[in-house]
Amino acid sequence: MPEKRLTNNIRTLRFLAGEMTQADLGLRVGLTRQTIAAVEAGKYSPTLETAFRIAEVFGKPLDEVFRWES
Amino acid sequence: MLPRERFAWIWTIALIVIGAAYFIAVTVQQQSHVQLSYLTRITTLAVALGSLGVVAGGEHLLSRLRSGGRRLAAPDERERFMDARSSTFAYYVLMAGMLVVGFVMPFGRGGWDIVHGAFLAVILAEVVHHGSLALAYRRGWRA
Repeated sequence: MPEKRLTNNIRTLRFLAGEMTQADLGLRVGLTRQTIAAVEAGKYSPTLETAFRIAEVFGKPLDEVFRWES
Repeated sequence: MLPRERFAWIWTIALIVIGAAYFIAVTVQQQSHVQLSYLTRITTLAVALGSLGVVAGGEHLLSRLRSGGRRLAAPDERERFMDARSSTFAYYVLMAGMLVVGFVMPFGRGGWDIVHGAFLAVILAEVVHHGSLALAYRRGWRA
C-alpha cells in the first residue's frame, strides 16, 4: 500500500483570512498555538472533529483544507 | 514555551537531581557501616519527597504569577494524547519495577532495600513520564 499522509492548506487559508495568527485560530478551535503550528507542519494530525472546526473557521469544506495524498 | 512543557522539563530535571542526591546519600550512609536509626532514614526520604514538593509547588506558583493569577487553560487534544502516551510508557516502567520489588527482592533483601527499590521504581517511572512528555512537546507528535 503506498504511503500516504495528511497535508493541509492552513497556512494559505490563514493568509487569505487577513493574516490570522496561529494563536487566533487556536483560540477559535480550542487548540494551543503550538498545536496549530504542529498541524501546519504535518507533525500532528488533528481529530476529525477538530479538522471540521478548522474548516468551519475558514468557511471551507473539509477537503479544501485537508488532503490525504502520497 | 507552554507552561505544561516547562513543568515537564523542570519536573524531569528535579526528579533526576533529587533522586540522584537521595540515592547517593543513602549509599554513603550504608557504606559508613554505622547502624542508622529509623528516624535518620525516614528523614532522608522525607527531605527528598519534600524537595520534590517544593519544586512542584514553586513551579505552580510561578505559573500562576506569570499568568496574572489566571488558571491554566485545559490541555488541548494533542497535549492529552501526548500525556496518555507518556503515561503508557511510565506504566510499563513502574510495572517492571514493582515486579522486581514485590516478587524478587523479598527473597533476597528486606526492609529498607525494598523501600528504596520501590522509591527508585516510582522515580524512574516519573522520569520516563515527564521526560517523554517534554520530548513530545519539543519534537511534535504525529497522531
